Amino acid sequence: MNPEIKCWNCSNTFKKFSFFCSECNIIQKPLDLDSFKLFNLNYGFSINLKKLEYEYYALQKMLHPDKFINSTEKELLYAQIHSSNLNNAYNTLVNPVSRSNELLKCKGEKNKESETFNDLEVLNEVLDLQEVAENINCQKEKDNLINELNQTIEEDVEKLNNYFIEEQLLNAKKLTVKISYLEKLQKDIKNNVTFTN
Amino acid sequence: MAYSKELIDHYEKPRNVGSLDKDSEKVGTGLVGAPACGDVMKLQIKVDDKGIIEDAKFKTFGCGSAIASSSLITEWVKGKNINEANQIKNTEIAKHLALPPVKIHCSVLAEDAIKAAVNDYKKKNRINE
Repeated sequence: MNPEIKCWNCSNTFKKFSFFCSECNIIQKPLDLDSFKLFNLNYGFSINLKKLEYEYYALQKMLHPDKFINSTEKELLYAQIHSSNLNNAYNTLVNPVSRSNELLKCKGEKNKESETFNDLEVLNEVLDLQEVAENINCQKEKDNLINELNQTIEEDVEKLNNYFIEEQLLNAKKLTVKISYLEKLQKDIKNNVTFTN
Repeated sequence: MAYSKELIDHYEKPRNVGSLDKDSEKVGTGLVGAPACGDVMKLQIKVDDKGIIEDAKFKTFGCGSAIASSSLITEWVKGKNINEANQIKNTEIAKHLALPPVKIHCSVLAEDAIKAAVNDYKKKNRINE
């Protein structure tokens, strides 16, 4: 059950968080919400990114601190916090890896990033790809590998979506780590980091 | 923030880079990763009949601290008994290389890698703890 939220200005109460009071229209106190709740989304991996982007811009337009320049200090501060929270939440939701990690956290299966990962199947696959990347010596090979990684990531994100639909959270966790490795590798290849060997 | 001389030395001239035959009965392989920084560390040991590590090789994709940690640990385990090698603590690696706090997990990874390699060797040769 959501506890009731009370407007700090007019004491109107509401059940669900809202950026503005429905009675007095005053900006509300920021709450510590996860990225899904902040955007009023259900806990699911599949989200409509176009709609999210639209929503993000619409909210930022209403909550931009510049709009509160003539308001009280308190309202300006609230706007600054909301605005920063929205940026963070939007960035979290846009990327599949961070979205998945956020969702796993909300579902109580947080990926502990500081812990050593030891799934041999995933690590061997990543190691093989890293070795391929290491031996790249022309642009064509580089392009091919980037394309291959793109395709693998795309397929894995699709698979990840299914894991969430079927609530296979442990598999989702593992696959998220794998995708994060692939994204990192792809970035390294693009930045030519792997050529330095 | 400056890195220590030891760390830079191991990073620039990593010791024991390479692979051993992972299918050999005498070879134990440890493969571990740190998702947070995208590191993958493969560490292999070749063990003689008396349980002494006669050779060690590593291959690490990751940051300088991860490379230096794995390079150092391969040097340390050579000539050691597998059980001794299993006792190496990440804090010793971190201290030797003067790893900054944000890089401590790289030494943890090296400790976990050697443990995994010893474990793999023991499993292959049916040696119980």
